[in-house]
Amino acid sequence: MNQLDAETLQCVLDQDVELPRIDRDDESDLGGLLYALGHHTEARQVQHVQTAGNNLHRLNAVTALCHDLARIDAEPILLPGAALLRLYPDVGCRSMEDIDLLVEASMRSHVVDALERYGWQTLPRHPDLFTRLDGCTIDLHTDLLNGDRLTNRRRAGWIEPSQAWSRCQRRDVAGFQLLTLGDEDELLVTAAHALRHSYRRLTWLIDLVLQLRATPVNGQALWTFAKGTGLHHQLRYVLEVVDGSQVSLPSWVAACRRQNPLPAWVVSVLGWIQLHRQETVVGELLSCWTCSSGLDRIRFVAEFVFPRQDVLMQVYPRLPPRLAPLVYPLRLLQIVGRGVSELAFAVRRR
Amino acid sequence: MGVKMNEMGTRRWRNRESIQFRRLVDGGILYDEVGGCVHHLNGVAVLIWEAAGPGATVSEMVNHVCRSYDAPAAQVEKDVVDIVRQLSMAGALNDLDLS
Repeated sequence: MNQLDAETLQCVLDQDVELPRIDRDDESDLGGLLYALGHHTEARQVQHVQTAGNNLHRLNAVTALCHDLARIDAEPILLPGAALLRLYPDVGCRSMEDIDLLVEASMRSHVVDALERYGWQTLPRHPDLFTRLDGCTIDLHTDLLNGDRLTNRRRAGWIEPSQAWSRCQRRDVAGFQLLTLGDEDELLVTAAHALRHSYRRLTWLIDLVLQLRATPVNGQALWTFAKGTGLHHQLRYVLEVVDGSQVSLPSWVAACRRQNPLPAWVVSVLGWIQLHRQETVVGELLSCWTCSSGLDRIRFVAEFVFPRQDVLMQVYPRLPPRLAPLVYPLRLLQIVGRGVSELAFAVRRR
Repeated sequence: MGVKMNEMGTRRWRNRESIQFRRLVDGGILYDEVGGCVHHLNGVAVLIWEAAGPGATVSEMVNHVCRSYDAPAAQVEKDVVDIVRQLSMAGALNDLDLS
């Protein structure tokens, strides 16, 4: 991990080093939390109060929806990150772009009806994304790992939704009683999500450390559970990243790293991802590479690069539907452009 | 809501039911479920909000703040009255004598 990110995490999670100068993206990601931890600026104070207000507003809206749906046995599960608000000093410490809800596939139509009743509407081309005029956005899932978007994703580790439902827990999230995932499921979903997005937000690493500290889970049991789901690579990688930042972690983390050493190339790739976390997609590629067989890796990478047309149309929101066949050539250009840009960056660094 | 300062002291105030309160590290936040409004409270305002939970007069609020801050009543009374006025104008506190 680069020194700046490591110091930022140490400052936030252990409060034992000075806060380094952080860039604008991290400032807007962590401003509320930094204020709560005593790193006061006027902008952070404003952000802290705004985040608290936004979160309360969104959680109120979601709680009303959940309680309504509970009456017909269709109550959704609040997924991370909103569910992880409970681990922070207060409701102003973690900003959220949207709220992710897990619904049972058989109940999806009831949930959509309720969302529409409460004023939410889907965005064009995003059938699972519901927004409201007040700025609340809900992302509806029927599985934990976005397997309906990229079907081959389930080859790189999978938590059966029915099993996740059987392990769910009702918890207090910022004063609201909501269904959340079980501890192990929540940890693995956080780890997989963070890798998929190349650890872009430091908040996701903070989420994970707070979960590790709060979860009364035995390291060996968690590892066995992770292997059972096939998400042990994602867990191992994120442990490498957070332990590399030298924040204090449960003692089993170091033991887990020793017992399950990573290949040198993976360590190098993780290092690359952390250096370029704001702009790289290598995290998603590494995620593809966690499939157990070579054929599965190729299938997953191929689908990631060239997904279904309806998924790819989301990447090009301004492209008119009649020009849909153009998405694949456009995607090819995008891939080549991105590849050249990441390669050029690597060469310059050398 | 033009309540005069001398009138405020004789009334009992209570939190409005539709207002949610959450403690923040530097005070608290009020969220109005009905209007969607948000109010940030400083430390003294949080004490007033807590005191007004079961219903309280301004002098009871002043006593509550004095005990927490170990400050004389004369020093905090004006702040308490100001905050009660602001919270009542924002619709967060109900005047029990009028309700």
